[in-house]
Amino acid sequence: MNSLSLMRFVAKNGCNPLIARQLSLHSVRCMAAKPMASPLSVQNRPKSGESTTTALIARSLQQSPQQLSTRWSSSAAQSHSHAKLWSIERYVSMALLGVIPAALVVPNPALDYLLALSLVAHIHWGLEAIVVDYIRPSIFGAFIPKVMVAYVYMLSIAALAGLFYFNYTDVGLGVAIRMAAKM
Amino acid sequence: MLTNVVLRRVLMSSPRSAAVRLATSSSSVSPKDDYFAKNAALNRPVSPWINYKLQVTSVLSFSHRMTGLALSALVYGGGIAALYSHNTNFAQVLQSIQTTVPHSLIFTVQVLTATSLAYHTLNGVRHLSWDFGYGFSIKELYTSGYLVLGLTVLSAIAFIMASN
Repeated sequence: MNSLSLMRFVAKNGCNPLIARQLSLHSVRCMAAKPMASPLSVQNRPKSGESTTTALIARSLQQSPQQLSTRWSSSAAQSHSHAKLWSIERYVSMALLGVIPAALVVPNPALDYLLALSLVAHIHWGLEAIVVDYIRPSIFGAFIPKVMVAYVYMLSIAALAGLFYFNYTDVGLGVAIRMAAKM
Repeated sequence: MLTNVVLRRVLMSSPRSAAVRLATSSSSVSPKDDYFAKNAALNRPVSPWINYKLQVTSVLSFSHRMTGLALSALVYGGGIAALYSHNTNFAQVLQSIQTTVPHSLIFTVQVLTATSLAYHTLNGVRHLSWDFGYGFSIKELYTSGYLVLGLTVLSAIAFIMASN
Protein backbone atom coordinates (compact mmCIF):
# COMPACT_ATOMS: atom_id res chain seq x y z
CA MET A 1 0.00 0.00 0.00
CA ASN A 2 1.60 3.27 -1.01
CA SER A 3 1.58 6.51 0.95
CA LEU A 4 -0.96 8.22 -1.28
CA SER A 5 -3.66 5.57 -0.82
CA LEU A 6 -2.97 5.54 2.90
CA MET A 7 -3.47 9.31 3.00
CA ARG A 8 -6.76 8.93 1.15
CA PHE A 9 -7.87 6.20 3.57
CA VAL A 10 -7.05 8.39 6.56
CA ALA A 11 -8.81 11.42 5.09
CA LYS A 12 -11.91 9.34 4.40
CA ASN A 13 -12.07 7.34 7.63
CA GLY A 14 -10.54 9.67 10.16
CA CYS A 15 -7.72 9.19 12.56
CA ASN A 16 -8.41 6.93 15.50
CA PRO A 17 -5.47 6.16 17.80
CA LEU A 18 -5.20 2.49 16.75
CA ILE A 19 -4.91 3.41 13.09
CA ALA A 20 -2.53 6.25 13.97
CA ARG A 21 -0.08 3.74 15.42
CA GLN A 22 -0.13 1.58 12.29
CA LEU A 23 0.17 4.59 10.04
CA SER A 24 3.15 6.05 11.87
CA LEU A 25 5.09 2.93 10.96
CA HIS A 26 4.42 3.70 7.31
CA SER A 27 5.49 7.32 7.88
CA VAL A 28 2.12 8.90 7.14
CA ARG A 29 1.21 11.89 9.25
CA CYS A 30 -2.23 11.44 10.78
CA MET A 31 -2.87 14.79 12.42
CA ALA A 32 -3.99 16.56 9.26
CA ALA A 33 -6.83 14.08 8.80
CA LYS A 34 -10.44 14.74 9.67
CA PRO A 35 -11.35 13.43 13.16
CA MET A 36 -13.69 10.42 13.19
CA ALA A 37 -17.25 10.48 14.50
CA SER A 38 -17.56 9.06 18.00
CA PRO A 39 -20.57 7.95 20.06
CA LEU A 40 -20.41 11.32 21.82
CA SER A 41 -20.52 13.02 18.47
CA VAL A 42 -22.61 16.19 18.66
CA GLN A 43 -20.92 18.01 21.51
CA ASN A 44 -17.47 16.91 20.38
CA ARG A 45 -17.27 18.52 16.96
CA PRO A 46 -14.14 20.74 17.01
CA LYS A 47 -14.97 24.36 17.63
CA SER A 48 -14.09 26.87 14.92
CA GLY A 49 -10.64 27.93 16.13
CA GLU A 50 -9.63 24.58 17.61
CA SER A 51 -7.17 22.24 15.93
CA THR A 52 -8.25 18.69 15.23
CA THR A 53 -5.42 17.39 17.40
CA THR A 54 -6.71 19.01 20.55
CA ALA A 55 -10.24 17.97 19.64
CA LEU A 56 -9.04 14.37 19.44
CA ILE A 57 -7.27 14.58 22.79
CA ALA A 58 -10.23 16.30 24.46
CA ARG A 59 -12.58 13.66 23.14
CA SER A 60 -10.33 10.89 24.42
CA LEU A 61 -10.29 12.38 27.90
CA GLN A 62 -14.08 12.56 27.98
CA GLN A 63 -14.47 8.90 27.24
CA SER A 64 -15.00 6.23 29.85
CA PRO A 65 -12.16 3.92 30.92
CA GLN A 66 -13.79 1.10 28.95
CA GLN A 67 -13.78 3.06 25.71
CA LEU A 68 -10.25 4.32 26.31
CA SER A 69 -8.84 0.92 27.12
CA THR A 70 -10.27 -0.71 24.00
CA ARG A 71 -9.07 2.14 21.79
CA TRP A 72 -5.61 2.64 23.18
CA SER A 73 -5.00 -1.09 23.40
CA SER A 74 -1.41 -1.45 22.42
CA SER A 75 -1.31 -4.87 20.80
CA ALA A 76 -3.55 -6.15 18.06
CA ALA A 77 -4.02 -9.47 19.88
CA GLN A 78 -5.54 -7.75 22.96
CA SER A 79 -9.13 -7.35 21.85
CA HIS A 80 -10.77 -7.58 25.33
CA SER A 81 -11.01 -4.81 27.89
CA HIS A 82 -9.33 -5.11 31.30
CA ALA A 83 -11.68 -2.50 32.78
CA LYS A 84 -14.22 -4.84 34.46
CA LEU A 85 -11.49 -6.99 35.98
CA TRP A 86 -9.73 -3.85 37.24
CA SER A 87 -12.90 -2.81 39.06
CA ILE A 88 -13.32 -6.28 40.55
CA GLU A 89 -9.73 -6.16 41.82
CA ARG A 90 -10.51 -2.91 43.68
CA TYR A 91 -13.76 -4.35 45.11
CA VAL A 92 -11.85 -7.37 46.43
CA SER A 93 -9.23 -5.09 48.00
CA MET A 94 -11.98 -3.15 49.76
CA ALA A 95 -13.68 -6.37 50.83
CA LEU A 96 -10.40 -7.56 52.32
CA LEU A 97 -10.34 -4.46 54.53
CA GLY A 98 -13.43 -5.84 56.25
CA VAL A 99 -12.91 -9.58 55.96
CA ILE A 100 -9.46 -9.73 57.61
CA PRO A 101 -10.47 -8.04 60.89
CA ALA A 102 -13.76 -9.94 60.97
CA ALA A 103 -12.07 -13.33 60.46
CA LEU A 104 -9.53 -12.56 63.18
CA VAL A 105 -11.95 -11.18 65.76
CA VAL A 106 -14.79 -13.69 65.21
CA PRO A 107 -13.16 -16.87 63.82
CA ASN A 108 -15.64 -19.18 62.11
CA PRO A 109 -15.52 -21.54 59.10
CA ALA A 110 -17.48 -19.28 56.72
CA LEU A 111 -15.16 -16.32 57.25
CA ASP A 112 -12.13 -18.64 57.04
CA TYR A 113 -13.12 -19.79 53.55
CA LEU A 114 -14.05 -16.26 52.51
CA LEU A 115 -10.72 -14.98 53.78
CA ALA A 116 -8.81 -17.72 51.94
CA LEU A 117 -10.64 -17.00 48.68
CA SER A 118 -10.33 -13.21 48.75
CA LEU A 119 -6.73 -13.34 49.98
CA VAL A 120 -5.63 -15.70 47.20
CA ALA A 121 -7.46 -13.62 44.58
CA HIS A 122 -5.81 -10.41 45.78
CA ILE A 123 -2.35 -12.00 45.95
CA HIS A 124 -2.81 -13.62 42.55
CA TRP A 125 -3.57 -10.30 40.87
CA GLY A 126 -0.64 -8.68 42.66
CA LEU A 127 1.83 -11.39 41.66
CA GLU A 128 0.54 -11.39 38.11
CA ALA A 129 1.06 -7.62 37.95
CA ILE A 130 4.65 -7.99 39.18
CA VAL A 131 5.42 -10.73 36.65
CA VAL A 132 3.82 -8.81 33.78
CA ASP A 133 5.66 -5.62 34.77
CA TYR A 134 9.15 -7.06 35.02
CA ILE A 135 9.30 -10.22 32.93
CA ARG A 136 8.76 -8.50 29.62
CA PRO A 137 8.99 -9.96 26.08
CA SER A 138 11.47 -7.24 25.09
CA ILE A 139 13.94 -8.63 27.66
CA PHE A 140 13.06 -12.32 27.97
CA GLY A 141 11.68 -13.16 24.53
CA ALA A 142 8.30 -14.53 23.60
CA PHE A 143 8.20 -17.75 25.63
CA ILE A 144 9.43 -17.08 29.18
CA PRO A 145 6.90 -14.35 30.12
CA LYS A 146 4.00 -16.64 29.23
CA VAL A 147 5.57 -19.46 31.24
CA MET A 148 5.97 -17.20 34.28
CA VAL A 149 2.34 -16.03 34.12
CA ALA A 150 1.24 -19.69 33.92
CA TYR A 151 3.47 -20.40 36.92
CA VAL A 152 1.70 -17.69 38.93
CA TYR A 153 -1.62 -19.33 38.07
CA MET A 154 -0.29 -22.70 39.25
CA LEU A 155 0.95 -21.20 42.52
CA SER A 156 -2.42 -19.56 43.15
CA ILE A 157 -4.34 -22.75 42.48
CA ALA A 158 -2.02 -24.73 44.79
CA ALA A 159 -2.20 -22.08 47.53
CA LEU A 160 -6.00 -21.92 47.36
CA ALA A 161 -6.22 -25.71 47.51
CA GLY A 162 -3.83 -25.78 50.46
CA LEU A 163 -5.69 -23.08 52.39
CA PHE A 164 -9.06 -24.77 51.79
CA TYR A 165 -7.56 -28.09 52.88
CA PHE A 166 -6.21 -26.37 55.98
CA ASN A 167 -9.61 -24.84 56.72
CA TYR A 168 -11.27 -28.24 56.31
CA THR A 169 -8.86 -30.49 58.24
CA ASP A 170 -7.20 -28.14 60.69
CA VAL A 171 -8.07 -25.22 62.97
CA GLY A 172 -8.88 -22.73 60.19
CA LEU A 173 -7.18 -19.53 59.03
CA GLY A 174 -8.59 -17.16 61.66
CA VAL A 175 -7.57 -19.26 64.65
CA ALA A 176 -4.23 -20.15 63.00
CA ILE A 177 -3.20 -16.50 62.54
CA ARG A 178 -4.10 -15.76 66.17
CA MET A 179 -2.04 -18.73 67.35
CA ALA A 180 0.92 -17.67 65.21
CA ALA A 181 0.74 -14.11 66.57
CA LYS A 182 0.81 -15.43 70.14
CA MET A 183 3.87 -17.70 69.66
CA MET B 1 27.97 7.28 7.13
CA LEU B 2 24.27 7.62 6.31
CA THR B 3 23.29 8.66 2.82
CA ASN B 4 20.60 11.24 2.20
CA VAL B 5 18.04 8.60 1.21
CA VAL B 6 18.53 6.56 4.37
CA LEU B 7 18.55 9.72 6.52
CA ARG B 8 15.22 10.88 5.07
CA ARG B 9 13.59 7.47 5.61
CA VAL B 10 14.90 7.33 9.17
CA LEU B 11 13.70 10.84 10.10
CA MET B 12 10.22 10.35 8.61
CA SER B 13 9.49 7.15 10.47
CA SER B 14 8.34 6.84 14.09
CA PRO B 15 10.84 7.65 16.87
CA ARG B 16 11.15 4.03 17.91
CA SER B 17 11.97 2.62 14.46
CA ALA B 18 14.26 5.61 13.88
CA ALA B 19 16.23 4.78 17.00
CA VAL B 20 16.51 1.15 15.98
CA ARG B 21 17.67 2.03 12.47
CA LEU B 22 20.18 4.61 13.71
CA ALA B 23 21.54 2.23 16.30
CA THR B 24 21.99 -0.70 13.97
CA SER B 25 22.93 1.17 10.82
CA SER B 26 26.62 1.63 11.47
CA SER B 27 27.36 -1.48 13.53
CA SER B 28 26.16 -5.02 13.16
CA VAL B 29 26.46 -6.11 16.83
CA SER B 30 23.47 -6.08 19.14
CA PRO B 31 24.38 -7.70 22.53
CA LYS B 32 23.70 -5.29 25.39
CA ASP B 33 27.34 -5.07 26.57
CA ASP B 34 28.54 -3.77 23.23
CA TYR B 35 25.67 -1.27 23.19
CA PHE B 36 26.77 0.31 26.48
CA ALA B 37 30.47 0.16 25.59
CA LYS B 38 29.89 1.75 22.20
CA ASN B 39 27.79 4.57 23.63
CA ALA B 40 30.27 5.20 26.43
CA ALA B 41 33.08 5.37 23.89
CA LEU B 42 31.11 7.94 21.90
CA ASN B 43 30.69 10.01 25.10
CA ARG B 44 26.95 10.11 24.71
CA PRO B 45 25.02 11.53 27.70
CA VAL B 46 23.08 9.04 29.84
CA SER B 47 19.58 9.76 31.09
CA PRO B 48 19.61 9.92 34.92
CA TRP B 49 17.75 6.69 35.54
CA ILE B 50 20.39 5.08 37.71
CA ASN B 51 20.98 7.75 40.32
CA TYR B 52 17.60 9.51 40.38
CA LYS B 53 16.90 10.79 43.87
CA LEU B 54 14.71 8.78 46.21
CA GLN B 55 11.36 10.45 46.81
CA VAL B 56 8.45 9.72 49.13
CA THR B 57 6.33 8.78 46.12
CA SER B 58 8.71 6.28 44.57
CA VAL B 59 9.94 4.79 47.86
CA LEU B 60 6.40 4.22 49.14
CA SER B 61 5.34 2.70 45.84
CA PHE B 62 8.30 0.31 45.83
CA SER B 63 7.70 -0.56 49.51
CA HIS B 64 4.05 -1.30 48.75
CA ARG B 65 5.12 -3.82 46.17
CA MET B 66 7.86 -5.30 48.35
CA THR B 67 5.65 -5.74 51.42
CA GLY B 68 2.98 -7.27 49.18
CA LEU B 69 5.52 -9.71 47.79
CA ALA B 70 6.79 -10.66 51.27
CA LEU B 71 3.28 -11.16 52.66
CA SER B 72 2.35 -13.18 49.56
CA ALA B 73 5.32 -15.47 50.16
CA LEU B 74 4.08 -16.11 53.70
CA VAL B 75 0.47 -16.80 52.72
CA TYR B 76 1.27 -18.90 49.64
CA GLY B 77 4.10 -20.65 51.48
CA GLY B 78 1.75 -21.55 54.31
CA GLY B 79 -0.97 -22.63 51.91
CA ILE B 80 1.27 -24.87 49.83
CA ALA B 81 2.96 -26.28 52.93
CA ALA B 82 -0.49 -27.25 54.23
CA LEU B 83 -0.83 -29.60 51.26
CA TYR B 84 2.05 -31.66 52.69
CA SER B 85 0.73 -31.79 56.27
CA HIS B 86 -1.23 -35.08 56.36
CA ASN B 87 0.08 -36.20 59.73
CA THR B 88 0.65 -32.98 61.62
CA ASN B 89 -1.71 -30.32 62.86
CA PHE B 90 -1.01 -26.63 63.16
CA ALA B 91 -0.37 -26.67 66.90
CA GLN B 92 2.35 -29.26 66.38
CA VAL B 93 3.94 -27.17 63.64
CA LEU B 94 4.06 -24.12 65.90
CA GLN B 95 5.43 -26.24 68.71
CA SER B 96 8.31 -27.55 66.58
CA ILE B 97 9.09 -23.99 65.44
CA GLN B 98 9.23 -22.80 69.03
CA THR B 99 11.65 -25.55 70.02
CA THR B 100 14.04 -25.02 67.09
CA VAL B 101 13.98 -21.25 66.59
CA PRO B 102 15.01 -18.82 69.40
CA HIS B 103 12.19 -16.62 70.65
CA SER B 104 13.96 -13.38 69.72
CA LEU B 105 13.98 -14.43 66.06
CA ILE B 106 10.32 -15.47 66.23
CA PHE B 107 9.43 -12.12 67.75
CA THR B 108 11.42 -10.21 65.11
CA VAL B 109 9.64 -12.05 62.30
CA GLN B 110 6.28 -11.39 63.97
CA VAL B 111 6.99 -7.66 64.28
CA LEU B 112 8.24 -7.42 60.68
CA THR B 113 5.18 -9.29 59.39
CA ALA B 114 2.74 -7.16 61.39
CA THR B 115 4.47 -3.95 60.30
CA SER B 116 4.48 -5.05 56.65
CA LEU B 117 0.78 -5.88 56.86
CA ALA B 118 0.01 -2.53 58.49
CA TYR B 119 2.02 -0.58 55.91
CA HIS B 120 0.57 -2.50 52.96
CA THR B 121 -2.99 -2.01 54.25
CA LEU B 122 -2.54 1.72 54.93
CA ASN B 123 -0.82 2.40 51.60
CA GLY B 124 -3.49 0.21 50.00
CA VAL B 125 -6.15 2.58 51.30
CA ARG B 126 -4.09 5.43 49.80
CA HIS B 127 -4.09 3.53 46.48
CA LEU B 128 -7.85 3.07 46.69
CA SER B 129 -8.34 6.79 47.21
CA TRP B 130 -6.45 7.33 43.94
CA ASP B 131 -8.67 4.76 42.24
CA PHE B 132 -11.68 6.82 43.28
CA GLY B 133 -9.99 9.92 41.88
CA TYR B 134 -8.80 11.67 45.04
CA GLY B 135 -5.43 12.84 46.22
CA PHE B 136 -3.33 13.32 43.10
CA SER B 137 -1.88 16.78 43.80
CA ILE B 138 1.74 16.82 44.96
CA LYS B 139 0.76 18.24 48.34
CA GLU B 140 -1.87 15.54 48.88
CA LEU B 141 0.54 12.82 47.77
CA TYR B 142 3.15 13.87 50.27
CA THR B 143 0.64 14.46 53.09
CA SER B 144 -1.02 11.07 52.63
CA GLY B 145 2.40 9.45 52.25
CA TYR B 146 3.70 10.82 55.54
CA LEU B 147 0.38 9.93 57.18
CA VAL B 148 0.79 6.32 56.05
CA LEU B 149 4.36 6.20 57.36
CA GLY B 150 3.34 7.71 60.71
CA LEU B 151 0.43 5.33 61.18
CA THR B 152 2.66 2.38 60.26
CA VAL B 153 5.12 3.33 62.99
CA LEU B 154 2.24 3.65 65.47
CA SER B 155 0.92 0.22 64.44
CA ALA B 156 4.33 -1.34 64.97
CA ILE B 157 4.55 0.20 68.43
CA ALA B 158 1.01 -0.97 69.22
CA PHE B 159 1.83 -4.52 68.11
CA ILE B 160 5.01 -4.65 70.19
CA MET B 161 3.22 -3.37 73.27
CA ALA B 162 0.29 -5.77 72.76
CA SER B 163 2.51 -8.82 72.56
CA ASN B 164 4.39 -8.10 75.82
